[in-house]
Amino acid sequence: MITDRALVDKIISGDMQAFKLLIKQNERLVAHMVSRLVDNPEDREELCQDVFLKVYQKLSGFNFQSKLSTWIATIAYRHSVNYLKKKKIPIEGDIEQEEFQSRTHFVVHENPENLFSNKDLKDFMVQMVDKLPVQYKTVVTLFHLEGMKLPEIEQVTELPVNTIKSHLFRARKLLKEKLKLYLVKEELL
Amino acid sequence: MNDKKEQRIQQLLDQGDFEAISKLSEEEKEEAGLYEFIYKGLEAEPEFTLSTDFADTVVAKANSKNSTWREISPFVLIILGVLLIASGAIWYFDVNIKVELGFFSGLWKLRWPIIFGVMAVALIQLADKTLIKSRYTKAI
Repeated sequence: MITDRALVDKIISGDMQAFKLLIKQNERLVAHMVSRLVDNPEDREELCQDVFLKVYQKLSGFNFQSKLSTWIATIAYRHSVNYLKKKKIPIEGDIEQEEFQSRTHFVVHENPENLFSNKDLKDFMVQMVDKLPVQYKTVVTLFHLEGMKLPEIEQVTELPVNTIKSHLFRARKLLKEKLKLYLVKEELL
Repeated sequence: MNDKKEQRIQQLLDQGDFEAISKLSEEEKEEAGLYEFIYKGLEAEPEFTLSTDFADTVVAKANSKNSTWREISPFVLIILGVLLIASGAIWYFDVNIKVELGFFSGLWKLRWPIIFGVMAVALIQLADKTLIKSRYTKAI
């Protein structure tokens, strides 16, 4: 297994196979970040390409203060946030319960039995997570999907650890409340 | 259920401490079950996947950017060098030497528009190589 430093040195010296290896190692991470933050499927692949081109461009400035993957996640996060800003999509702030409810109204029409089959659980949760505010989506993706620790998430998002903890707690609570509401509604029918 | 209890449940799940969860009250265990469900969902892979040739496409684009710069750098330096020498020479003749140019006096009057014209052509070439060519390669 090649170290971050050896890989970076090879790429800087012009080894494009090493760059390809870096892409292969991190494409899943970048795809997760971009797809969770950007709703438009047509723009996602191009954004992912731009992220890696930026990584290539800035690689000589990488100072090994963090893991290479954390640094790449930071670039993916910032690039996605810039895209959202350009499209005037709000990235900060909390979500109103009512708004979340109205945006996820489709969920209550589904059969709760299906929820517990793997595919429907996956679809249900993916849809619910997609409706969360951008910063909530970011922290839950980095924590649950990428398995990052809080200090790493702090590096990527530049949010204080307490804010990250709060976002994590509130995002999970919000999702749990929606699930509970859904199950109660279905039981009453 | 208050936030403190919910935080405790989330903390136990984060730590994977199922023994502690089994000792919670029935109501808390029910909440923990819902959270477990949420955690599983959050760990599910998003549907979006990149194309199979994604890495090759990015490497090709990075190569194309490299070669574009390699092509442009000497080109820009040569044009700038020529323009600098021409401007200096014209300025020197303008200030220090008064000669009868005869037939060329008409051309001499147009010296600055000619220099700016050459500069404009060079800039158009540069724009063509940096903007148009790179967009074209991006498109293919």
